[in-house]
Order: sequence, then C-alpha cells, then structure tokens
Amino acid sequence: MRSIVLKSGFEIFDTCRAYGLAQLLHCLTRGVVAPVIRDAGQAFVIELQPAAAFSDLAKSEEWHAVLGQEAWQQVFLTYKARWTEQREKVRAVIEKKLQTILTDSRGGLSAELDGPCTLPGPLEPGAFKGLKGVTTTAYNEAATAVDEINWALACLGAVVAQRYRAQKVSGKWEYYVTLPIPALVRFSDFHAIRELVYGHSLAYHGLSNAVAHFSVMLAEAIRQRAAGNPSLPLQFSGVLYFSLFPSGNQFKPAAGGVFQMGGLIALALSGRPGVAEAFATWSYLFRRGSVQGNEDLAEAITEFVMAPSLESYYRHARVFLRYVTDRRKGVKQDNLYTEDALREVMNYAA
Amino acid sequence: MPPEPLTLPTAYADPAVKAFGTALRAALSFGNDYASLMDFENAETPEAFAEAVKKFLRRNYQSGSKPSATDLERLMTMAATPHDVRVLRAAIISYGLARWDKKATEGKEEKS
Repeated sequence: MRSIVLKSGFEIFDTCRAYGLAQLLHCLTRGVVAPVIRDAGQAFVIELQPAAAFSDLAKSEEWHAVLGQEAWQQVFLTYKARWTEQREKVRAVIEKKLQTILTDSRGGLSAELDGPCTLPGPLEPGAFKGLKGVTTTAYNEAATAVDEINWALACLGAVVAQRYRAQKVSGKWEYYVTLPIPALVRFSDFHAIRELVYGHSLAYHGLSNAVAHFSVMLAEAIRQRAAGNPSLPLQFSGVLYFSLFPSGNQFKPAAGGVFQMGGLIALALSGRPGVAEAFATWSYLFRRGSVQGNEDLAEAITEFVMAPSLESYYRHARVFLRYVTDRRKGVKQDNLYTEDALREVMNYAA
Repeated sequence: MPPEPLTLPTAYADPAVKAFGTALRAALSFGNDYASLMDFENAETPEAFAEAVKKFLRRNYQSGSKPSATDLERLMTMAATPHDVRVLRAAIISYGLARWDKKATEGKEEKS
C-alpha cells in the first residue's frame, strides 16, 4: 500500500504531515508492520507492505501511547492550559475521518491552506500571524489555517518527530525545536533512533549549538543502527530547526533554517573504524562545552559541524588544543582523537 | 598542469609534518613552549611560517623530539603559498589533539 503526502511549501508542516501519516499507519497495524517514508521531491511517499492488516484505531495501544505523550503540550504551547482541548480535537478528527485519510492519501494528500484549523506556530513558525511578505495594502496577516485532516496529521507528526528543548535564556524560557527530514526511513528505525537521541540534551549556548549537537547525536545513532547492516534504509537529508522566544504573554518564532546533514550521514554510514571515535570526541566536546566558562569550545565545534571547512577546523583545533595543553582543564587522553578519528575529522573538513 | 592544492589529510599524513607536529606537542607538554604555538598560529605567509619554524627549532634545539634536517627541508618545500601555510599549521597543531604515549616521549626527552 502506498500513501502520498503532497508538499505544500511549508517545509516543517509537510514533514510533520509525513511523520503523522506514518505514525497513523503504524498505529493501525499495531506496530507489527513499519511504514517506510521516502522523500520523492514534490511529495513524501509512505509505503506499507500490502499484506498489512489494520485493526481498530480506538483500541490500538500504540495510538493511546502517542496520545499520552508529553510533546502535545509543546506543540500547542501557544494555547497554554487549553492544549488538551487541541489534542482531543486531533484525536476526534483522525478517528472520525480515518477512512477519508486512507482513501485520499492513496491518490495524494494535498493541504488546503484556507481551511478552518489554525496551524500552531510552535509546529510551523511560518504559520504565525504577522507580516509575512512585502505588502503595500495590509500591515499584518492572519495565522495560517489549513484543512482539518492535514492539520491533525501535522500535529500528530510534530508530537512524534519534533524535539522541543526548553532553555532558560536571560531569565526567560526559550524553545529550540529540531526536526529531522526523512530521506528514506523505516518508521520502526526512526522510533529506535528517537529513543537514543531525543531524550539527551545539554545546556546549550544558542540554537546552532542545539542543532549541531542534535545532528551529531542523530548521525551517531544512525551509525550504531547501521553497524553490520549496510542496506539499512535509514537516511535523513537534513534537520529543520527554529527557536521560539517569549514576547509579552506569547511565544514568537526567532531564527530558523535547515542544516543539510549529507556530510554527517556519509561519515556515519562509511563503516570506517575511526568514525565512532570521532563522534565520541565530538560528544565530549559538546558536553564539556555546555559547562559555563567553556563556551568557546562549544562554539568552535558547533561552527565546525555546521559549516565544515579548513577555517572552521582550524578554529576548533586551536580552541581544543588550549584545553588539552592547560593542565587545569584536565582533558583526559580518552577524550582526545585517535589517529583514525582525526583523519575522519579532517576528511569531513575537506 | 598545475600541482594539486595541498589538503589537510595529505599534509597530516606527511612524515615531515608529523615530525614537527609531535615535536611541537612535546614542546608544549614538557617545555610550555606557548610562544612557538603562537608563532605557528599567527603565520599567514611562507616567510612568516619559515620564521616560526626557525624560532621553534632555536627554542627546542636540545629536545629529543627535534625534527631532522630532511624534515625541515621538506616542510619548507611544502609551504609554498599562503594556502599551503594555512593547511600546514592546522595539520601541525592537530598532533596535539591526538592520543599519544606521553611517558615514552617523556623518557626520550629526559635522555636528550
């Protein structure tokens, strides 16, 4: 069975819809058969084995487990205490319109951008109300509203796939949100990776630092998962990210973008022995850099991971060497690169 | 056909760079020779790089890890352009980031 999610142009919204539909199919098969998400350019294609039997969604334990997740509160952050109402609305739409979702998705599920459901800003920052482009007539635009099926699937996908990291900055809470873009991902593998990656976070020194650490953890989890299984269909093309900051009583989007992680994935799937050691040292650098006073270490490794080049490598090497040579810093030999790892890191920079 | 530009992995694997990299690492660990590190880090041109190398050798002429004349000659040949210098200084200081047998090197330094 093949389901298609046609892209609307809102990248985060589209990616969440794909994850949402995959999660729904996963729940319908009670987790027995894992759908595979593939990015086909203009659409996400979700494939399921033809023999997969669907069970009653309302009785599916997987469905109840998803509804019980904590991330709903973050997706509906702007609704404050009323986030539970929105979650119930998602449940009601999906349970009520299940057959329509399954039928429509076979031909290609396209989103209507003038529907009745307001897209939550913490799901897709492009959906926030406000000035979105150059205009001579109106000085603001309303929040983006979509049809209820795509709204519900996107919310479900955001709960499953977006990582919300709350961070206190100058006495106020900010959120750093990251979402991996699936290139070819079996959903069961995604869940396994989610277990390995989403729960771990540090005290970050900014959005880029959070994205770089998340991407390195993701690449390391893919490497672990792919070890001994080179044909594993598990590839992410990038990581979408944005931050939310409190403005008065409301949260508003700040910086955002996409980190293309082709280089990291290629490194992770290369199967060469030094890669694991290189990731171990990077992991140490992120951990060490998260401590107050070591911001330069975190900034240097972040810059190197996000934009590898001779210059960023040199900056990282200079800063790291200061820590290595300073006995008071106490960098242990085990946290240094091995010769093989250093070669891998240099190839990543080249 | 013009020669291929020097790359970081190629430079790092070169024996002359290795000799200077390990010597600088020993000088930093046992002699606190941060002046040489600064000289290498600030070198942008082949002339400044040659000066940094000269000062480094002068400061560490008694070191057991001192590079040979062949290494010196080869390193100077490699440092032909400002790009080569940027690659070489990155490759040399990288030896300080790699695990190494500190005790064995310490013994060598004491003997000299």
